[in-house]
Amino acid sequence: MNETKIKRSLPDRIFNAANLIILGLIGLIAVLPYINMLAVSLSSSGPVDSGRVLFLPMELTFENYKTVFMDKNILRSMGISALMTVIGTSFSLLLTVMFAYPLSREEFRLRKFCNVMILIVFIFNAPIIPWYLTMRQYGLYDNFLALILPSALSTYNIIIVRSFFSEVSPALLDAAKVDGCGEMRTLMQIILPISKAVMATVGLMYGVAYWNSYTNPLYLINDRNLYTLQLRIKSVVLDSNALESMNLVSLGTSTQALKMTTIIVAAIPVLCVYPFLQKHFVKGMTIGSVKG
Amino acid sequence: MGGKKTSQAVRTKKESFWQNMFRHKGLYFMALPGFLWFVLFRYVPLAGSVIAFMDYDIYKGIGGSKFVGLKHFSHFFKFPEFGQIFRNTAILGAYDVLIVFPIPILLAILMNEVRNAKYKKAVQTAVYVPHFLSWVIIGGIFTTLLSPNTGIINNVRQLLGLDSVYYMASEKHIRGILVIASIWKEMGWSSIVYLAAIAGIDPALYEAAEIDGANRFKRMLHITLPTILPIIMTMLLLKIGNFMEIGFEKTNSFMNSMNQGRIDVFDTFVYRYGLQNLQYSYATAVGLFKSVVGITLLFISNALSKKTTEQSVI
Repeated sequence: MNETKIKRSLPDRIFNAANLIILGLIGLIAVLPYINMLAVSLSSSGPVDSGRVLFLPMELTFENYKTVFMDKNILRSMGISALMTVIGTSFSLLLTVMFAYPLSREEFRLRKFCNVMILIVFIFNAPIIPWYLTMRQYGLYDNFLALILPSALSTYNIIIVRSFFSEVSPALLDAAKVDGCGEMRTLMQIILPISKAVMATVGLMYGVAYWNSYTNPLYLINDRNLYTLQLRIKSVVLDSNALESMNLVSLGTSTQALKMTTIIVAAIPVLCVYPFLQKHFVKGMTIGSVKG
Repeated sequence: MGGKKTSQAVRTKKESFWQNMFRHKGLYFMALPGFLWFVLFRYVPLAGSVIAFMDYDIYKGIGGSKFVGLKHFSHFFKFPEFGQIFRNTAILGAYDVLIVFPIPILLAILMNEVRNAKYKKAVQTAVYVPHFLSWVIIGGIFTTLLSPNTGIINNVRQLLGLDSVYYMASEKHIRGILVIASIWKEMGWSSIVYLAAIAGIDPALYEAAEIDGANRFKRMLHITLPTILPIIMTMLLLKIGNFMEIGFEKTNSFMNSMNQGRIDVFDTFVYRYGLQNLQYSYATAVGLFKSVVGITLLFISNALSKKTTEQSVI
């Protein structure tokens, strides 16, 4: 190894340096938008409105954060999104392992049928309007359940869990059976404790999907009191006329800074779990690519 | 062990479906909620697509609505907006394949050449983040950064003595902005697949090439690229198979009345006509048309993939 280091030629070293610089620039471009937004969200209205804030806060103030965190609508939306994420993820995980477990067992005769069934709707994107009308007929409109039930399962996640379960040694299952464990108990007390990693992966996938979900709530939630955070951001930041209706007018804050602050606040939960996401999602991608 | 297995296999073969169901009732009970969910939340709505061939009346329901055949489809094909939506989808899809698609491959190849693990990790951490942010947030970030008076891009332009441009309202710029946003959001994440494939290359290959006097570029060209070519092919075909999926959340997060003409695609059209104008049957017909074209493309690319890489993309 050392030898190659010494022998490294000049063009090689130039390439290395150029490569590091290019990648550094790419990384910087990826990060600069957040830095600018953070700087703006911490600046007073004067410098922001005259467009002087670049990457450092000017006339440091926390007024923007105060305003956003005092806004009842945003707080309520955050609560709804948090509740939806926590309850939805637990519910989805339970349903997923309960479905994936039989699908991994040869004794389950409907295995092939169910596998095809979940795959068909995975590759064929059914039109959304009939879906919307059906949800309304079920009464899943303008209520909390509408945020959870329609997106409870994902074929992709079922496949990941299924391929993990099918790796479990049959001897372990036999042992559980000999000990008189029912199927549900086998799953909950024998299989799940050894599936922590895959549970973390799939749980995070569901969690991020719930937190970020936009199309479902857009179709199924009309009541502004039930708006999720994503819907709220869309109406505050992208449909700019809605800003006045938010009571987001206070002294010493500019609309631009408030918009950026709202976006940052919405992104923070995702950024907080990001280290776990990075670790587990990569794992999920490699498990998912194994054809089951 | 082997003998026991075969005897069990013989027994399960003899067993009727109902006997099997009774013996493993636990498994069937467990599968029931998931099974029901797919029926109720996926297949019932799918069956509801028949309203594309009806004049659906929400008060009369599917049974009481009049059957009109292909009326909504022919209406849509004659509609002037059809050409526009089709063109937007084709152009945005082409940009996706030609510009957005190759970048993660280059990124992975460059990333692989970095020897300093910490540096590599730092860059990766930075470029993966946007993948986890929703399109609404990405749309918000771009809208604020590109804002005409207070956004940083225009502030820098003003510093350089240039006029500020209202990018989000500019038909000329909006598609480019979408492309940049797609690259920014997904380039890091999409590179993981290629990085994993490169990591699987036998180091002996590189050493042999080095001894034969191949320099860095030659090694990249003759070893790295050929080994990841099958996965590139698979990803490309997958992308082509999903050509119609420009993405509702993406376009909707960037769309406003000023730029709509350039980025209006099937899904945004369906949302406007179905949910805002309440033309349920018409919007369903448009959605169904899109789905059928989409799955046709997917099957074509799957067949191509089987031929070229002996792997199916679905």
